[in-house]
Amino acid sequence: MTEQKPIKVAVIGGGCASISAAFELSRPAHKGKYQVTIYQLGWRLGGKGASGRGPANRIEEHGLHLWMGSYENAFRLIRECYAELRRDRRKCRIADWRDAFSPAPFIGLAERSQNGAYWNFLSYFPPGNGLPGDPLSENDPFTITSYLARTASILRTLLLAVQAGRSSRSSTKASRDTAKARPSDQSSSESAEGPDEPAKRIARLLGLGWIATTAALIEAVEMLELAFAPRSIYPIDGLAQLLELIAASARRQLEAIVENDPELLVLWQGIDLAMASMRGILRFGLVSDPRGFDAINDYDFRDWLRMNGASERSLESPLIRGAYDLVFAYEDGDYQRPRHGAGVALRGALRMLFSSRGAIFWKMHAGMGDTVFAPMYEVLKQRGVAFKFFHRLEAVRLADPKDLAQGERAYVKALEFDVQAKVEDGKEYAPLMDVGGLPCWPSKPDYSQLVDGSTFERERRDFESHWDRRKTATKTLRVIDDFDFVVLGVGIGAIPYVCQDFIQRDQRWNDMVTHLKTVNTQAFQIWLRDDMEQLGWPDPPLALSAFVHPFETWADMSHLIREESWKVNPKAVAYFCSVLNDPVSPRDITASSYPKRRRQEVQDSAIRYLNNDIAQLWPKAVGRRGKFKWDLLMDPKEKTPGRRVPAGDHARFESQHWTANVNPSDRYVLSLPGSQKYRISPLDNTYDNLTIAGDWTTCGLDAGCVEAAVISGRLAAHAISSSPVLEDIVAFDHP
Amino acid sequence: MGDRKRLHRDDPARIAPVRNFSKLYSRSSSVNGAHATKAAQPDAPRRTTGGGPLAEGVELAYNVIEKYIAEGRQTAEGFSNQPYATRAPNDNLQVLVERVLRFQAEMLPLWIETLATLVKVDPAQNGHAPSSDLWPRSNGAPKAETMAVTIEVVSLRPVQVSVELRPNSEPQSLVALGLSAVDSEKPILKDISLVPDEIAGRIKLRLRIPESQPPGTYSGVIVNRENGETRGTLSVRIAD
Amino acid sequence: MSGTTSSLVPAILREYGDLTRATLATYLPSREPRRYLYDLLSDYPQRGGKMMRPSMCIAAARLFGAQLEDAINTAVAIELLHNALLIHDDIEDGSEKRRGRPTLHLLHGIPLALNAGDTLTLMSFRPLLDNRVRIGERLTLRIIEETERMARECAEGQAMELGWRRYNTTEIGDADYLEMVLKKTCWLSTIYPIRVGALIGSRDSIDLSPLLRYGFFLGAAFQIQDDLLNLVGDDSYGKEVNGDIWEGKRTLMLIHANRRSTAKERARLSEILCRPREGRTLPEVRWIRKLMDKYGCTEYGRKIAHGLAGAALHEYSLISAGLPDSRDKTFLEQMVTWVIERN
Repeated sequence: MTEQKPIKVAVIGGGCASISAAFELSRPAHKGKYQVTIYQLGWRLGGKGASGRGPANRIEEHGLHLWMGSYENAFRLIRECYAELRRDRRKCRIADWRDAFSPAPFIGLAERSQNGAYWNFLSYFPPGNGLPGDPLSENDPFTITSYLARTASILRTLLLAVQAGRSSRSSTKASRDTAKARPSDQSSSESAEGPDEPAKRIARLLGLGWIATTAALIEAVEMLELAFAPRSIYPIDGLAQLLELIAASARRQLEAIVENDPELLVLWQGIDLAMASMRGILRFGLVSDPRGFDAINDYDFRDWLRMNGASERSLESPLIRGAYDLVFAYEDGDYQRPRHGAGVALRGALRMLFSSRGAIFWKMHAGMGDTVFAPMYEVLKQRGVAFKFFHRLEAVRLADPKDLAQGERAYVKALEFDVQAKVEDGKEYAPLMDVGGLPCWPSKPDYSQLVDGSTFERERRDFESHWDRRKTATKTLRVIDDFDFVVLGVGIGAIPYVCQDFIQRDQRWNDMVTHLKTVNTQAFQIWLRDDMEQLGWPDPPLALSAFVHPFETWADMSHLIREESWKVNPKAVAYFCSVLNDPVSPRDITASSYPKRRRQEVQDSAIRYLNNDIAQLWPKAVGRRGKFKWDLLMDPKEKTPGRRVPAGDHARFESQHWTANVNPSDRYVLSLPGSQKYRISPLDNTYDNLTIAGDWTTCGLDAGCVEAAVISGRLAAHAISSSPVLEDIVAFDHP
Repeated sequence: MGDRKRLHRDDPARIAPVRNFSKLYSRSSSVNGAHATKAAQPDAPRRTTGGGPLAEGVELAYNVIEKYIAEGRQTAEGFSNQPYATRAPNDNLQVLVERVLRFQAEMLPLWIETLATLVKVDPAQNGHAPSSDLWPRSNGAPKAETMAVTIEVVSLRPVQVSVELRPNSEPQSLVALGLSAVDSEKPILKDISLVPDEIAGRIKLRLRIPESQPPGTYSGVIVNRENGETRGTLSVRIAD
Repeated sequence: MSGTTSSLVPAILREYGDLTRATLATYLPSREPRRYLYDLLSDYPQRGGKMMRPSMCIAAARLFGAQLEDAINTAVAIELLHNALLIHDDIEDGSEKRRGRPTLHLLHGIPLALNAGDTLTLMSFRPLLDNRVRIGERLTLRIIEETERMARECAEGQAMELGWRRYNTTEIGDADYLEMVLKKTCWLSTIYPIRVGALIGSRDSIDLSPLLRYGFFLGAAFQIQDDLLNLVGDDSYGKEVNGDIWEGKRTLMLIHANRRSTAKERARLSEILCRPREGRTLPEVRWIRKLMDKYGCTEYGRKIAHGLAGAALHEYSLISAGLPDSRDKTFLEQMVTWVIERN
């Protein structure tokens, strides 16, 4: 018999999902069974995570990328990638994954404490042992009861902190309040003997009707912890009442006290939200609901917390604002409409707070393109994966239903591409450039490799823009001849443009594109002459969110300076990002001037922001009249570096980097309440030679993030090759 | 050589993530609310405004209601829906509605049929993963509190039987109402009998599965034929 | 208790009442046979009515945190059940007027009216089953369990009351009376609506016993006030004055009169009540009425009703202690005053 021919897999798109799918399918263990080709528009991989290098080799991103310590799948893959790559440290500074990633030191939420510093709420959540991507131990960490136990534990920690804070502030009000305690005080804890003890103690507490002191409150929370322990026999119903009692008593005791102390206030808000979450989990029966957290996805997170007793103050606290900001959870990009499915939010929050390892947030030491997609590209090339750059998908064509045999499922018949450019001499396009030994993606294609390259450069063709449809040729790939299976890894924003066959024939796809909404994002980066301390920011570098809209997220990225090649190094680099609203009239989007107009908008916004708002963070960055000191900005192209240009020159901003991410496939997917049921799984086998991949699919997390995309890519690989086994996909099975 | 055939993806073993990790389950009457587990509330202080009929009336009323509530608790516990606590809601609605109807003075046969169609539950609305859910395991309902049952099955195919019977059920009077599947096309499993076992105190459950019975999960209730009281639940899963 | 009648209670009754009515209409089909069935079904609901029961259900649900849409189906079911019961009550009591118009069985005959009553009962299940979509299987099941309990209590209370009439029991104490009222009236009118409302709002996470107490006291006060109105009602009263005496209904006032009467009076009372309604004459009914006045029965009834209202307010304060202020919270509190001050 003839040897088994390799199965041809066409992977469309080069973002996290596609790359992960390709990484799985091309594993050496498959022994070349799958011949993978990646089709990518433009000149670089990465999708929403793509980054480039501009003048002075400065890093230019789409926005801010931080990885979380709970991204088990993403870290696992990138670690394997670096391990396989085996870069030579003498030649390349970023040789190991630990050179690429390091714990982000400090994430603040914009609320100042009494001494004016931004206050690190997350320091109350110590990350787990080990590093993300390490093999997981046997004890199953992902049950709701274990999350409840951990929440109870945090609750206790927070209460202890409040207690400590109160005593250190020795407010007379506090002592007055404790003096008002009812005589029927709960005495200090007796040691719990035997299985009945917790039940008896809880019953006794419930009988009292209220808990009078913070000490007793802490003890009551301890009881909760015990009750949630793995081998506890205490029935769930009684715990709901205990929680009610704790919540009511805590409110009575603490709400008045924390009013005037911002740090205690945020602690209290955390307590309030933790109690509301626990209460909600019990009230909604999530512990035994087969859908787990999905059961509450029809509610908005704030609404759900409110239903479970969280106060309005807590719901407006930076904790919640930050949660919405970090995932751009604003419908149509409108700040007046924050909406986020409660199940997705709660799952995400619990995973972030309780299953992070090493650190809750991790930062990268170069652009995401450089740290993730370049090494991935190299490894995949080594393994024999083929890359077709400058191929933009135009349509996925389904077989005519009339042509289907009896019992045959629908399938993809053809893939239609625009070929944006061809490479000279029919060679393969070499996409990477060298920056001090590090392979990187450039911000513009290498025109010298392209046929008619100089024309393209003159015409300023934007290969990544949805509005620039110019092409050199078209190409149609056909099933059997050119591909056996398809992994569709384009962003959800692109689906309505390329999957009309599906949308018209398949109600589920129609529902999906209707209900799964996306938003634009915007970002800008500035390079500064002074360092942060000189600008008036005395604290260690950090990323901050829940600040003023727009650009409520700011990250100090000064650690990247040494990766760039400035003649005179800037002393600080700052990235800002946020959601960008949709235009009022949808027709505006079709105009070819649209992207330029929005870019202008972002520039105006950024300038306004720097003039009006940045003073709150960087008091010394503004001049006497309160306007931003424009001469702080450094232009990579300036002729005589170091010589200051007269202040007040807005044109200075022109030299910085900003972006309006309005391309459909760059739009960020939301997890609106009620939308999750419209997602489709990569494992879905309706079209039996196609699998979808992306953070917009049902991948377990169902939220827009790197981890969701990686999981979906691994699921897509499983759909085609039955590998990796589902149990290996960390936290896919998860309440 | 020759034409390459179009390749098809295999159906994956499952599509949905497993989300149910509940390791804690209530053993007390959870579905019926919290009153069984809540500690007894201290007596509510009564308002007595002056003497006379007003105060007496109030006191009288409190006596009436407290006595009523105390009796109610006992009845509720005796009436305990323990089997219901672990069961899929489908069957509950059906059985429960039937029970309510029994309390009505007059029943019009025509309307019962209509109600039966109203009660049929659409599985798509349930949000459970289809048929990968087994019949609820006895999920923590303490084993000691069910009666011992000997099971005799006559069947050509592998069959999984799950039965739960409340203690002190009268072996002589038990009958299993026909077991039905969610899909109404499938015929009702009727060849079931419950008889006292040779060993005292045990019950024998006899099942015969016809060859033509389509695979699937069939479930229903076990009742005492004298008084119609529900004594347990029975489910049978026939493999493909 | 304040003597001022609030405007909040009628406003909310109107608001929730209208919403319930609108949704209720969607559950009553308007197809054939109209003359024999479907027009009859809509008759009583269309005659208006205070909509107290569905309003309490909705208010309780919102009080505990639900949205109006979560409770509307159940409110509709309650109103359907209530109307079904009215039809049956009117037949059993031989009443002639309901809400200012002839009773259903007088209009269409007993068999058709009975049929309509049964149908309304059965139709009340539809909205309860539709709850699945909005509030989930578990709560739907719980509500149906509560409905079953309510139906059972109602039937038992009804049996008690009818039994007294049938067997001409006159030696009834106030405690017996209260127990009967608890089962027959309070369960459908106040206890059940509030309990299922709270069940929906709290998602079945709270102990419903305090609501039982509040509902009982409130419902009993309501019933006594109802019976008082029957004795002293004016032209706006929709039923016939002294109609209860005609029926021989064992009201609190009647048993009080019986208890305080002399032996001779008691014998005469028993003899009159022994006969069926048709066998009673107007002078006899007037005599019974005078007996009640002689022993201050209406005053007695009023005092008891006030006492019960006070107890209801107390129970309500326990229930509502931790809950945020809202219209619904105030409404349920002011209901207590409203039930004993309305006319």
